[in-house]
Amino acid sequence: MEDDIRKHLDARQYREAFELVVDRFQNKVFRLAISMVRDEVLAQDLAQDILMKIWKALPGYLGGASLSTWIYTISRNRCLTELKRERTHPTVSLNDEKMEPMFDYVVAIQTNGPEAGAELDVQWMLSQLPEKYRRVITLFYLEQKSYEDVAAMLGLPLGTVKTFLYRAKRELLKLSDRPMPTFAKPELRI
Amino acid sequence: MKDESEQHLDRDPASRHLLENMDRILEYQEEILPGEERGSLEGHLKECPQCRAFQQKAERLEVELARNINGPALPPEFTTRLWERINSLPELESIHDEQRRRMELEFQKNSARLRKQLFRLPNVLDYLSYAAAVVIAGYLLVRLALEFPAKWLPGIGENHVMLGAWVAGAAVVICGLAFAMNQRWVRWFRST
Repeated sequence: MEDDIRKHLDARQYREAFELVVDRFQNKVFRLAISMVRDEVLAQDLAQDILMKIWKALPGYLGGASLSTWIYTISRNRCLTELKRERTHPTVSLNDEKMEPMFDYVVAIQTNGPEAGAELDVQWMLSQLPEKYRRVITLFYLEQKSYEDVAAMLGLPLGTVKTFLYRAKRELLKLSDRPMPTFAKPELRI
Repeated sequence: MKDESEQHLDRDPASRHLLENMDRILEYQEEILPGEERGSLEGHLKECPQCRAFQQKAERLEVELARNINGPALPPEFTTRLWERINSLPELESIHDEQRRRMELEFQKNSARLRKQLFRLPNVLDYLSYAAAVVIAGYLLVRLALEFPAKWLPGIGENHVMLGAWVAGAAVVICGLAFAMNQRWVRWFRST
């Protein structure tokens, strides 16, 4: 899969190599970023930054690790830097856990029918999971249930991915038995 | 530690086995249950309505997760924007050359600093004095080793020059060591 990219790199045809990298990895990088930062817009910006970093570093890629490992390591490090930055300079995001119940409430009163709120239940349950489990289970479904891809993207052993996934589901099943938290209707103040 | 729902199941003897089977059912679903246990669990699921209900719940969760966790696609303008950004940069070769040039410059600067430190006059004198001390001490020790066994203790008393040489050699070694240690202490003191 990476051979053609490597051939271009060996021939110092960086643009051709990068075209293939973008074609094959941009969605994976984006999904990895989503699973880590949980914000679609931020994940898009991060994916741009990550691909720019990869472009600039491409001539320095020595081929020690596989190309995908190298790309995912850059991606994870960039996302972790962003998460660290957010912890030191917090901002209110639409995907903020604390704000989610409020949005759930708004969406629930805006939608009708049997499906109303169903999706939000899963999102709420996911938000209750420990970070490492949530990251694995999110990426697992985003990557069409590929254990190998999740392991490679998160840099975890395959066995750990399976264990985390199993524990995450166990937690989710427990959470599905509990009643959803109720939130008071926000007062409208003029 | 068991949570509230599990404690409730634990109190009910009929449900206790479900608690025991929960892990196996999830492992079965994840296809990580060993082959021999798969068969026995499948048999149990056919007979036990409680475990079957739990399995169905787990399957429902699976469906819900698959339905709800679907990655938003990247917008088509994502790639266009990326290439625009890349095209606005200088040529990759020149970025790389610039990086390499900066690294080489840094390396040369550090090497020069190191060379300068290494060949400063006080340092050169230090190296020469250490070397001289080692040579003198070595010479005296060789002399002592050659003559000392033959004459043994009375020989030292007769040969005052030899005794003086031995004392001088020992003094040089002790002074050299003390000086070196002192330098090390000074460096350590400065660094802290």
